[in-house]
Amino acid sequence: MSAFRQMALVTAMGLSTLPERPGRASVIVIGIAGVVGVLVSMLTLGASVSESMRAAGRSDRAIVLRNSAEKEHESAIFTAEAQAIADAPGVARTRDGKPAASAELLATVNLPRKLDDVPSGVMVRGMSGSAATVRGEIRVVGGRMFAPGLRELIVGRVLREQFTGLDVGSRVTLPGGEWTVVGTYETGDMWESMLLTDAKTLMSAYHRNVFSSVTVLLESPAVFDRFKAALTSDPTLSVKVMRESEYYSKGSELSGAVIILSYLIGAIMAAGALFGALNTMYSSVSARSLEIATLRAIGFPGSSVVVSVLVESMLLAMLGGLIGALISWAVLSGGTFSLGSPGGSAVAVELHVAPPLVGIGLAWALVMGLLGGVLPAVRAARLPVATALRAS
Amino acid sequence: MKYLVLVWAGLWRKPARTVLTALSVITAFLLYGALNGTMVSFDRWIGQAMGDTAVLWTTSRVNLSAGLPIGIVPVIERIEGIAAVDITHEFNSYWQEPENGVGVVVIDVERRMRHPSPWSVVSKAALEQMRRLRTGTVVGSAVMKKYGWKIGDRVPLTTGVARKDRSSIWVFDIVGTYDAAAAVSGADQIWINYDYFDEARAFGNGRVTGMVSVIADPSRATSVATQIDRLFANSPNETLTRSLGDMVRAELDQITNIKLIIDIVLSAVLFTLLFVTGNTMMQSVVDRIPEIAVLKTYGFSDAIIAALILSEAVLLCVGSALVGIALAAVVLFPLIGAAFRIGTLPMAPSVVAVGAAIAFGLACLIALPPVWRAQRLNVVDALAGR
Repeated sequence: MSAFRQMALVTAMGLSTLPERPGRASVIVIGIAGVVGVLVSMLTLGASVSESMRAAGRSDRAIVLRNSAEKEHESAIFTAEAQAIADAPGVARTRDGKPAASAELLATVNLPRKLDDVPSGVMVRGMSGSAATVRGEIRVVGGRMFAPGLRELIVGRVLREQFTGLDVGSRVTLPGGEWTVVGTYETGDMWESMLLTDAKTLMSAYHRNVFSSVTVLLESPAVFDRFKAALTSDPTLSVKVMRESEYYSKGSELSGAVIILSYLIGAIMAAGALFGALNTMYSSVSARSLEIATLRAIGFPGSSVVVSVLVESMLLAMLGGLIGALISWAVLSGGTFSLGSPGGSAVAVELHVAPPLVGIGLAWALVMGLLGGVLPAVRAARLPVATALRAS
Repeated sequence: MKYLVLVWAGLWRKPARTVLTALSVITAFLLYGALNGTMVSFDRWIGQAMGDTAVLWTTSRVNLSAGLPIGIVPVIERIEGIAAVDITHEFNSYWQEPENGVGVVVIDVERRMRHPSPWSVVSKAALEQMRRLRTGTVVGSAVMKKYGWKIGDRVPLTTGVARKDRSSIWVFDIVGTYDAAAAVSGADQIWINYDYFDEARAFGNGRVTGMVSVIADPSRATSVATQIDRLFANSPNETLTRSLGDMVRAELDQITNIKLIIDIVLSAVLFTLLFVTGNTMMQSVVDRIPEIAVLKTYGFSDAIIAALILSEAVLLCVGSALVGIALAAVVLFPLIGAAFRIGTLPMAPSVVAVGAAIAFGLACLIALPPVWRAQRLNVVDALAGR
């Protein structure tokens, strides 16, 4: 009999006795389901935020900030500079021949979250110029577009789901008075966590005479270098030019922190579940000691016993992992979540349990199954045959 | 005493099993201690470090970044019960390289001299120097030391605040230093003149993040705060007045509903634990059925046997839980403290108490099925090993 066949036989035999010990087997399954469920869910929260930020960045758009600024919030672009940027070479044109550029102001307003009524910062973005051409992905899906000059806002779909008082017709208090929400829009990315309006109107409300940034649509991704060179070589401008994809790829620091925290909590939980798995596999081995001793007595090698124990624990772990991932998918999929930052503004996103994250969860499950099985498997293989047979 | 011996013996019947179970309980409560403990301790720390109720912070109700016009300072000053008002406005900068961060605090020297902020130690002479020199700055002792600056040095700082001349580099002359009395608003900042700053900046002129009011009678803090906010209700500059602790808490609350996430994670952990430990406990009782039958034969009542099983579960769960929480306090808290640069926080007694209570509840739930099983035991069958 080949070694492989021996292993397969012993494994099949071990597995066939599983239904006789459902309690102990379920310890592994439920323990690991808990770990994987929490891990996959938390990773999904972090990843959905950074993914939706990444999705917002396009390589054929460029964003221009003040050279000392890292983020739009702390950047300032003067009106004259905004004009020079729009006129730079490489900027695409709208149908009526104007440069496809939008000088924008990014401001923040506190609105209560639906979840707990806590006031949290939300981005309000004022757009200007040919914003409609630059940001072709903005689709108004309810109500209508804001009218420049009037105190009107349109709200991103996910933001509306996460915050109170953003339905069409609602009023939002900004400095200097109330604004009306006149429409809802979709973009499919992080931009859905904003309120959009006209830049000049927003600037007067926030007492600003400078923009935060200018975003331009390039003729093609390839002209970026030419566009950048033209701006950075202009001595009257002190600006920083980035591809939009590069700007948004940095993601949010907080989503990075959430991901680190997920792994930390996942690791500690995994350690706890591992002790449970070890317990189960030890007792599973001791419950089967007569059977294992008999197999060894009739000539099956220790290795096939080791494999059978390992396969058992890994299969149970895998089952647990799948259940955990399934629960996390069922609970989170299609839901929305918002992640803010102290003194900053929230990013509201739709949650998607991505297959790679499920893969990470299952990999953890397998490793836990393997680790939980190794020591008991070795004990099973070393079981003194005579003692085990006599003991019963 | 004799019962304790029995409980102890029962616990160590299979040492490997008990140790593994204890380890999983320890791990679970390590997580509980780290997550819940950090939340509670951090909140207490904010309360202590920033709990000065004699100081009220007034900011825009719209958002911190919206700012308030400096013109409302005299209006607030006139409110009865307010001893002094100062502006508060801060921004980030760096010296030479982006990693050399320096926090810049804009102050109104005249007002600061009249009523120095209670948490910072600065000499009147240094402020007097700053008043004389528009570009003068008083630098925190930690910054001086870190970058080797001396009084008289002229330091250029790169900021996110554009100047009217379109540059973002601000140059200041060091005229003095200060020490910080408390962890909040530490010595890692510099103070600059509001007049100079406001004149040179490109936008936001005449507006600051907010106002800090020192009130004469701290017990009237809430009513004074309401009074300030009522004064500006329905104006273009609606205000929100609160203590520093409340303001910091509100800013932190914005991240997400962390409490909810932690509660969900901990529920998952405890549910899993209930299952794992419950199963082990059940198994351990099943293994000892003949022994329990012997005890019953000797005349141990059902109640005593139930108490024995329950004590075993309580000892295992509560003991391990306390070890886990202690580990969180001793091992994880220093790490967390270092990460947030707030020093090691003490574990709040309430966290320990609630943790022990959870562990006790867990033990009772876990002991329930084995107790039930032991009660229904048929002594004759059990002794016969059936």
